[in-house]
Amino acid sequence: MEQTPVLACEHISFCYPRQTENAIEDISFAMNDGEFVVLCGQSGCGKTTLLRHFKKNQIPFGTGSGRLYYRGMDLEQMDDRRCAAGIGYVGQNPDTQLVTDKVWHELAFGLENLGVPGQQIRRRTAEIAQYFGMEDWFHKPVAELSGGQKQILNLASVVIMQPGVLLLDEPTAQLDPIGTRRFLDTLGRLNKDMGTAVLLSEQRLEDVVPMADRILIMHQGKLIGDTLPNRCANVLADYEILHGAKLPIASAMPVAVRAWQGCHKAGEEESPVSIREGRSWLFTHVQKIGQESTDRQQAEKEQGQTVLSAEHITFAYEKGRKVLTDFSLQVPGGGLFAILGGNGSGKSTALKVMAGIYKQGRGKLRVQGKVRYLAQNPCSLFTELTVKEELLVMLLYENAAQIADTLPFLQMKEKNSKSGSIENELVEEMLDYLELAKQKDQNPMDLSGGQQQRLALGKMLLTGSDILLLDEPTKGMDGAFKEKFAGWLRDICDHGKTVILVSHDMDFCAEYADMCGLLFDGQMISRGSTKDFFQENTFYTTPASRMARGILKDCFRTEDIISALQKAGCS
Amino acid sequence: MTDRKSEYAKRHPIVIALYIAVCVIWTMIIRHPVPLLLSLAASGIYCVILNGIRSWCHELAAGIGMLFFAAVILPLFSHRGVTPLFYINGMAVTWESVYYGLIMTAMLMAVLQWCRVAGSLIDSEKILYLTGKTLPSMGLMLMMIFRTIPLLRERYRQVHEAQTGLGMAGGDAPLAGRIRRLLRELSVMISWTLEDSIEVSVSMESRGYRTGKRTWFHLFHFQREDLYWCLLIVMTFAGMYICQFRGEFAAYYFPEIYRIPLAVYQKAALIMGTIGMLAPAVYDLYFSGRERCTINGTDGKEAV
Repeated sequence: MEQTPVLACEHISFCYPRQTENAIEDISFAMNDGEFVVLCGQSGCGKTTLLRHFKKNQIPFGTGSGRLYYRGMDLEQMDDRRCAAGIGYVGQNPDTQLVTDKVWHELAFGLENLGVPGQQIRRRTAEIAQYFGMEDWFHKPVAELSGGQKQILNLASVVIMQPGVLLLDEPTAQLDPIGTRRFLDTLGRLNKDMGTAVLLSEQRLEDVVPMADRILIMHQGKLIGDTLPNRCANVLADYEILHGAKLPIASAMPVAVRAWQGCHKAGEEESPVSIREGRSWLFTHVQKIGQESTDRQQAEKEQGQTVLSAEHITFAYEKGRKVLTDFSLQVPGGGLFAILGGNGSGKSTALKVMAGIYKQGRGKLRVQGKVRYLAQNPCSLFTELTVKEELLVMLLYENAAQIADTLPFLQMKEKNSKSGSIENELVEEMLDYLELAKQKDQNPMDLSGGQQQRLALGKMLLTGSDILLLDEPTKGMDGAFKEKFAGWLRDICDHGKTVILVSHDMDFCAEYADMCGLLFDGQMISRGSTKDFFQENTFYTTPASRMARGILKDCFRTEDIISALQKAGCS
Repeated sequence: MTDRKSEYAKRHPIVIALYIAVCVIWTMIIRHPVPLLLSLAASGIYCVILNGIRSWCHELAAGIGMLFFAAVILPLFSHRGVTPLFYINGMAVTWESVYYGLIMTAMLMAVLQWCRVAGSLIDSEKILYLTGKTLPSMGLMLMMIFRTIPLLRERYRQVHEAQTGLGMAGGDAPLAGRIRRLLRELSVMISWTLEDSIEVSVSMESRGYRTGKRTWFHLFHFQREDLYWCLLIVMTFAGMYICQFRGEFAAYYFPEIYRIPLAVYQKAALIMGTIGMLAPAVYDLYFSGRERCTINGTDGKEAV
């Protein structure tokens, strides 16, 4: 018997209203039962638009063509209940998908909608809670769950309807590494145990590519690759040869794939995918070329004088539960300082205390210059109706000329003395600088995630602050945009400002930070130049460092591995 | 605050709703001082059992305030009644007014305490069950409100921190500036939430909302014990309510204090009723005592 694909689409094209170009163009693929497929591509390439097509109620407004099938049935002719139950959808934001107030009720919600009798709901919620290990929080209000738990709950409350296929739209983008790990483990187990087909769209590929059976690569609305994980590198290489430029998603590929792509022997067809495979691949090479080490010339930046110093700071939200126990930190000026740490280590709290939002219990905080803090979620910042007003409002109570002086990287033509126009010019320059000039009359809430981040950074710069505190700035960014964002931060630092950020994103910190520190249990445990920091850690370090540990010396970025191998004469 | 778990609160919502309803209604319709004081005492005892003596003291403070108002201030202006205690500016302050003030305070206190008891026994889940059973769409709305309130609180905190961090808060601004700031923060919070509510509705539809008839799921079981409780409540309160409707607990205070003297069977009805009011309290005490015993027991076993 020939297997009908669980999900199939034929020549799907779609165009949003008032747009000339198709958001997705002529996409065809089919998924078999039990397959784990990863859909990757940089943000804005049409992943979400494509995923939404499989969910009838979520198909966006616009003009489209093509056919979609679920188990051989035309999606348009399926009745709503079968559609709702058969195709499960989990989105990006953990909070906005929750409907009810209690965990058990959230699980039951889908079944209630389908009119399943109470006795059966009782049995199925119990089963699901057991399977997902939710017994301990079954009776809790959803407001008390962590982000990772919320997302697992979202998954569970879709799985309870026993779908044949799960669609997930960047489900881990808002989660910390541990939450991400747990979510992906659960998803993988579900796929293996139940044979539920999974279509997962992602931008951070380190963890998901090794899990996948197949990879779909999208670029600018087109499906350009449909391949096995260990052949990804070939697709990327082909594209590079054909178009003379790297695919933006290439930088988000797992470190093993990237290292292999950068430096492999002719005749090798399959790339390693996981860290383990990457290590054994490295071993075979290094045995041939002998232990080789790189002496990476990290331009040790001259350390400026200390601009922010915290000494023995304590802080507690409520009596008796200290979040910061003994927080001490000296930050030299003109650099990018990254504070890393796990969940609940007090990273964000430390930042807020340094920003003066909270007053420390004990200890001293000395700051030179103006300190401003940028919150994690850009939605909490925007108060105005258009992007331009959003920036103008920052200058309402400030002297625009003075602010302009603090931003030497803006090409201010001449400092107009006429009042009113200098604000305008400053804002226009800022819009140009952040490449938001086209969007200046849009509502900030309508911008894409990356544009919102940029606008938030603009608001921050217009406060004229000398020390910028950023809370998880890279959350939800894709690799290409991170690079750009880091470019802006670098530019700002080069002009004498100091950036302190807290992050879970080790790759970003390894790549761009000048110094890193690890916060644990309310204290700064270790602190040093980025190189020393990642070299000394074994578990809390970048994937590249884990892959090269004990094989190549001094490698904590993919580029390091590649250059080490190339130096050894392998290409 | 210690979170005292009530065993009675684990009973079926219908049982608890019935209990609270008969107690509160009884307290509000009765005028006779004896049953009123019994209700006051019973509710007070249960309050202490549920929330501890310290929290009850707050209630008492409120009661004293009411007492002062009803029994001291009001009689100065209300001159009904026939037994003058003393005269102020030639106007009589009467014993009947003071007495009526005392009775009213007792009633208000008792109702307040019953409401406190209700607050401890009935949680959002029971409210949802009770509304969802009668008006399902209302229940769903209520449930989403229960979900949104903590979400809004959390978002407001985030917005406030974000604005403060950007230096937009201006803590030392004049009052008008601070009000403007507050309004701005609230508007951010609301537009953010409205933006998200679209996604919530998409999530609801994705899981089959509005595809046909819904069921209303709950975790409660109506057990045999719940039936016994209902019968117990009905039986113990029936006597009191019957007497009241036959006018046997009638009492009035103006112009003269008058209460019907209580006969034996009315006293019996009162005793029955009081037993009904206190039964849950006894039940809770019994179980908290027993739980302690079993914990000690297992401790002993583990030690062996």
